[in-house]
Amino acid sequence: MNPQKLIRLDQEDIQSILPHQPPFVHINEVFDLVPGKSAKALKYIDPEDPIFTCHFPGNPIYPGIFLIEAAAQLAFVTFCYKQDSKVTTYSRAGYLGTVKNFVFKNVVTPGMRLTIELEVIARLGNAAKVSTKISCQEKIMANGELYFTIDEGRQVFS
Amino acid sequence: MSGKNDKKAELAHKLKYMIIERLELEDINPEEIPDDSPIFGEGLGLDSLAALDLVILLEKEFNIKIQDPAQARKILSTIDTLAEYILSHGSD
Repeated sequence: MNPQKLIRLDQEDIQSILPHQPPFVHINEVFDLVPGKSAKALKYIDPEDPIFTCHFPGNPIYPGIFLIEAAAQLAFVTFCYKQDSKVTTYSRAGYLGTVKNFVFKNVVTPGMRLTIELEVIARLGNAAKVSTKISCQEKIMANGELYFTIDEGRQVFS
Repeated sequence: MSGKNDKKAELAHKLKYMIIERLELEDINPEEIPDDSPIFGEGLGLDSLAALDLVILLEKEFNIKIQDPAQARKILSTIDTLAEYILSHGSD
């Protein structure tokens, strides 16, 4: 048996890993995290999100580009999670290089609770490729592949 | 030309097609890629994300696993070095 430990992260944990700050944090919770390999995240589509006042007036649709960003943020957490919470890393960043074969299969609307699944396909040095699937209940909303480079920054032990 | 050189030339030719297809280099003909020209930088002008794609290709097509970026740089230096490495380490 493989006693691989699955890790769960709340919003505070996520914000301590991501270089992004609200309102540009696009994942709510991370679960089933296997560092460097795979993870899942919950993304709640808040009906109060101001994006819906303009995208589109009277016909609220969550922008696909934000779904890609959410998957990219989950990828960053998957790679940069450190078990030692006393390690703070500065100036880290992930740079999205290629979005490949990304397909939006269904429209995402206010109130949906999305599950983002992410799997690392390959990593070579600071370059990585991941595949992702975004679903609502059993329905696939989008899927695709992302390539990016990771700058892990410098670590400071507090 | 010896059998080994024939095999290497054949593989180099095949690699050029595979790289063009994998990296969607639609504007480049395989004949335009010299065997000894750098694949990255000033040669084909590919970057680290393209290198990652080639590493995936090597594993899938030739059962060669590369995890060290320095080793990848060396192996993926030119078509020539890549073909040489596959002939000595890979399996179809």
